[in-house]
Amino acid sequence: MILGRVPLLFALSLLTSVVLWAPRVSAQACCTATASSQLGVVGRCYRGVLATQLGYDRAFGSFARDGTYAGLDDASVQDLTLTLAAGLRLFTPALQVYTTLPLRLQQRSFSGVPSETRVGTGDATAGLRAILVDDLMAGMDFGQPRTLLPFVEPFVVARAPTGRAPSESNTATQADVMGDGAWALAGGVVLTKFVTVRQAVSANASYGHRFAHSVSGAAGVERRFSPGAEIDVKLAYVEVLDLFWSWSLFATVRWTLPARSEGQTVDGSESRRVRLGASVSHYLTYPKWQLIGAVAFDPPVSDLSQGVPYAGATATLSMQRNFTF
Amino acid sequence: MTARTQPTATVWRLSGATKRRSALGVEPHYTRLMPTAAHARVFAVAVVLGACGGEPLAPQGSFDASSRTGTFEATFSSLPDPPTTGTNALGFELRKGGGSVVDAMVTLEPWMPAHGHGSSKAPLVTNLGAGAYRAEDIYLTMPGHWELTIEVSAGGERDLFVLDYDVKQ
Repeated sequence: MILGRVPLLFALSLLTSVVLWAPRVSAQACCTATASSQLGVVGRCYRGVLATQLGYDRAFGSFARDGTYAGLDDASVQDLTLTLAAGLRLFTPALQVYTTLPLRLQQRSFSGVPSETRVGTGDATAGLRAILVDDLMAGMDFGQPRTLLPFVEPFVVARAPTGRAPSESNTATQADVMGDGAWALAGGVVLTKFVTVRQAVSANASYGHRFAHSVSGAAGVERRFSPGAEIDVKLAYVEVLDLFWSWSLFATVRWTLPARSEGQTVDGSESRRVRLGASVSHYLTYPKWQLIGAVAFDPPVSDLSQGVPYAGATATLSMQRNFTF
Repeated sequence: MTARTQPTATVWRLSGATKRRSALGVEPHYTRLMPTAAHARVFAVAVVLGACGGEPLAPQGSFDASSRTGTFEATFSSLPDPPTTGTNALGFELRKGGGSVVDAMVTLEPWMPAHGHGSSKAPLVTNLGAGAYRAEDIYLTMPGHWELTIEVSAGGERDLFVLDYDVKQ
């Protein structure tokens, strides 16, 4: 008798677990997907986040202006970046602010030049992000149009040139160049749609304006330089396995529009960079402590990217503390 | 520079010479390269560079160019050839009206126009005598398109050469 009831008890237990856990899985799914791979961004069901990320970049090649890929035979370019980030929902759950500050350790070694390693701060960012539309996360039912709506999250991000600019470098290899040298302001939107309860697709598009600034070279000649604007597009697929685990695949493209120097367009200064990547998210203790690992790389295929001095691979490991208040 | 061409073809590309402003805001002007005709002078430059303690320069990749207003002419040779990420040298023989320019003041500035930056260190220029000069410590800190602006002052005249470098690696 007892043995005969085991399957029934097991089935009831499983059903109970599914019923009780399903909302939490949804919650985790929504939080993961709406903040996937964006350090400092507060997940949908949290009120705040503190995060730190350790990243390693290594260059393996470069893309010329005509798209030709070439390996770096005599150069070593490596970056270790520790990024501190925080995000907080303000006034209303639909609005959040977030900020990041990278601390960089950079190593450069070129043909005929001794290896140099430098430490410094990179460019800090601060952003404002809102949720205009909520996804019901109930899957897509074409008979119910409301289920077709995605999360719609517009954002603006400002970047400050807190890192040393190229024209301020004091090293032969420019290992001390930690930043872009220009203020930047970007605006965009993130669309995240749960196709099923556990599977989401995300599209992120933004336009970033980089402000003009004065630059000079070794000869001391000053020029007014306007770096090209940046258009970023990111497509991602996110799958939530259970309460604790999820993973995603993503592709990013950055187009940099032509730069201007002394009011004149710089021929051939536009660029395109295509990267592919994957990430895994794991809650050490749900929902507070979250670990996210990610890798991304520039496919070494000629004509896929162009005008990229250093192309290679990036690995990051992020630890974040989510706050629900 | 587009150094993957045949030995008798253009090795340094002087592209957009009539369209682009130089880093100093003036129109550069070039004479298209004639490597075959220049071999004798190139070899002379190579010998001079080799004699001053640097690695001997192969005659390939050398070329003739005229300065912006045609005041000066020069034969250039890069070491290494093609230029690479890291430190580079440039040998050149300056001429004016068929004669050597032996007492020129020469400054060089590498510049990456697409990124709006140059090198942090100014190249060192040495007058080797007999119209031959050598620029060393030309730091090209990343692959991509670089401009090398060479300002020459001699005999009360001043002019510019602007060379295009396409650094592949």
